[in-house]
Amino acid sequence: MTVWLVVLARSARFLGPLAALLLLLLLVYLYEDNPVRDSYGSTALYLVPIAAWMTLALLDATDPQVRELAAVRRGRLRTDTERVAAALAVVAALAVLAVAAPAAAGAFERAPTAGDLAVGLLAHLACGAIGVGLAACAARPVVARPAVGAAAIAGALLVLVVLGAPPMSLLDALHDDGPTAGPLIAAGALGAALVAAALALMGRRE
Amino acid sequence: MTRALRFHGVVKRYGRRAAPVLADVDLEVRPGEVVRVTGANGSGKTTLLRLAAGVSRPSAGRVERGGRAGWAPDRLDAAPPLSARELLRALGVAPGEAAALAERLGFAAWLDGRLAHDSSGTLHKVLLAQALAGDPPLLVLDEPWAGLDEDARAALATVLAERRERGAALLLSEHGAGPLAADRTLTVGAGRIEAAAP
Repeated sequence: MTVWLVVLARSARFLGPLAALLLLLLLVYLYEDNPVRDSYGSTALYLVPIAAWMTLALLDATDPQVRELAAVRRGRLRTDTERVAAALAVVAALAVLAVAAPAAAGAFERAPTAGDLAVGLLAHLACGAIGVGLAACAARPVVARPAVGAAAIAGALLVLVVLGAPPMSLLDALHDDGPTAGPLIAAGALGAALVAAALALMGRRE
Repeated sequence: MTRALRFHGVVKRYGRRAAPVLADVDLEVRPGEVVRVTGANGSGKTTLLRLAAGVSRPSAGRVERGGRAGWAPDRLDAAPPLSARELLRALGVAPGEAAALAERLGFAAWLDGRLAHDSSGTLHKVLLAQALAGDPPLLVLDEPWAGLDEDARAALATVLAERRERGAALLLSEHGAGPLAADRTLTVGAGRIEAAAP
């Protein structure tokens, strides 16, 4: 997994999604007295497209021929699992940043409790996994043309928003300060299903 | 298994409606055999080799291998932002074996430089090294001599001859005759094996 992270770091492709996340955090927390869970709901939702962007950056940072070499030597499933796991690791780091930075900066109306931080982190991780799964389903080798893949991701996000499916249901629960267990589980399950589907699709492609 | 590689009626097309690049190919390679694959540009040599190595899957028919294939493409479209040592480690080559192969193939001095800054010949040697690593029973090498100087060609020929002695089967695509004598030459053209000469 490490090598895919090294490739991403040296390619500098991570800078775009990282800058986008920092800008969004700045915009969300520009005004003070932010409600804790409501704000975490917003940034968790924003993490979906940012996670997708980061995943595309990671998966496209390596020449497809290197993936082929790795697949022949180490197996397709193992190679693809490592690449997707690397994307999940990067997105998990972004999730931690999105939860910890505003808490550390005192950008909330009150100090977040341990429960707030836990719910916030889980919401960001679940939304991040949805972004990773969507992007992995729409990246090479599943979708050969990057423009088509990006359009597919945008379309899928639109469908999720219109249907009120996770991550929208999670956002609503956090905004309304309602019960979050169900929406968190649904978002996590969707993320896991998308990642599993992506690995299955990648295994079928050359 | 007494065969290192076998194709049963293999068809390969890129796209459902596309004409087949390879049509109804039957092929058998025995352990210790060196098979040279020739043909014009676009004749299907690389497609045949990619199927043999398991990089690509047949559209119809079946490919059987006696074990894992070591595969080296003729080039990479873009060198990854890694050193040779990092790439070999990423591909599962043990550090000691990577150093030994680098010594034998003549890129030991370039193990830690970025591949993107190395010559195409050095990158080619790294691709050959990862194919040779782990002593696979089948070596599938696409234009292995391309871009190598005389010393490197001789070093590679020695390594391949040793592998052959140990029972590995070699499938090599070549435009001209390489320094390693082949047991058979297959000429690919128009999606078929047009000729097989001893």
